[in-house]
Amino acid sequence: MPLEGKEVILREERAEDMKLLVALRNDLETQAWSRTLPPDYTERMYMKRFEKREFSYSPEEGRFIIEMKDGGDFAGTISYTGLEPRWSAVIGIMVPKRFWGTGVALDATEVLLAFLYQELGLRVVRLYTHSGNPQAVKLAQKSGFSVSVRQREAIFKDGELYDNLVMDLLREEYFSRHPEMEDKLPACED
Amino acid sequence: MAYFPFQGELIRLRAFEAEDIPALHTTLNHPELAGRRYIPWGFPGDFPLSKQQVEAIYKKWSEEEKGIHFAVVLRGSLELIGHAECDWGWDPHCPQITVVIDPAHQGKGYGSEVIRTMVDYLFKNTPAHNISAWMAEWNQSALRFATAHGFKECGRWRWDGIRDGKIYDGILVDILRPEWTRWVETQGEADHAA
Repeated sequence: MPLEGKEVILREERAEDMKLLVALRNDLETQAWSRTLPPDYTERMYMKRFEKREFSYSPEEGRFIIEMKDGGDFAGTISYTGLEPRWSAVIGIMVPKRFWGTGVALDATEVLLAFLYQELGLRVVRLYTHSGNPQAVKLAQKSGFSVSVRQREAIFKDGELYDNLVMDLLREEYFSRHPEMEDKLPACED
Repeated sequence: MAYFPFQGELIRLRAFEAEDIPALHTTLNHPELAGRRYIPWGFPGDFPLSKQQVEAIYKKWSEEEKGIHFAVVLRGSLELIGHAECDWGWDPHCPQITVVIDPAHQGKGYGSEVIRTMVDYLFKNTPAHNISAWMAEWNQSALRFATAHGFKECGRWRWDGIRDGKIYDGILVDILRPEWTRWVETQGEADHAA
């Protein structure tokens, strides 16, 4: 069963998704990267990355396609990387512009967070963004994240200097926002 | 005189060589450096390191393409007293640095010369605008060291790890190019006054 939210499911990548992922990557507004990448990525590059993925029982990352439950439309991609097992991971999300402001990104983030906290037993989840992306900051805040690091003027893109932001959400904060779930993982501090 | 930015009055920064491995093995295993020895991702941060692991660390450092790892040696005796890194792999606009001095050689101004040399190098020879460094919250001496050299704390990512029964945060400090220029000027005046 795929990971399921109110409006979306998170499922594995498939070869046919590569074209849509390239389009997201090559749009400067949706590429969701703190350092601008040239909009020249190709489907072939994405296929190579897709095919290079090896079977593993201890992957350090997870990459999902966000798919609308109603109609099965591609609604972006969400991932976690840099997994420190049972401790932390960094999440990232890219959503096509037509889904901005629809609640899809928030739904997908909540589905991934439930997986990271309830299944992987993480203690903290982080994300990186910058002060020139207020929509991303607002989305993260809606899921409970707060800004913990503001590295001044560390980002230059779109002709402007921006602050690099690290946002994080602690396990206890996540569960206090979700009273419907009980945290059965004991604390690890004295 | 030829321009050579990789030395101070007391120290010199040079490349690591295979002959350094035994000394590096000793330094990296110093109990006081556990958890703050700044070795590559994937190597244990606080376990004792075998000679084989130190060889692998040396190899990894030598293969670095978007950054440089220096051996810190005393100018007189050429003794290895630590290591230091400039890393611009993410973006040369905002490189990161690290400085590690063997505890037996701390408190003698060597670290101060290393950080001044590296920050000067980055601001005078690369397009860097923001230079940052990170340290664990329990490593207060590193925070004092960084702030004494003009860096400012710009945040703490929470729950960086757990150590001796306590969860700790990671601290990021940074400095902007104009701030460094001002710091060097003020420091020059302070040195003069002293």
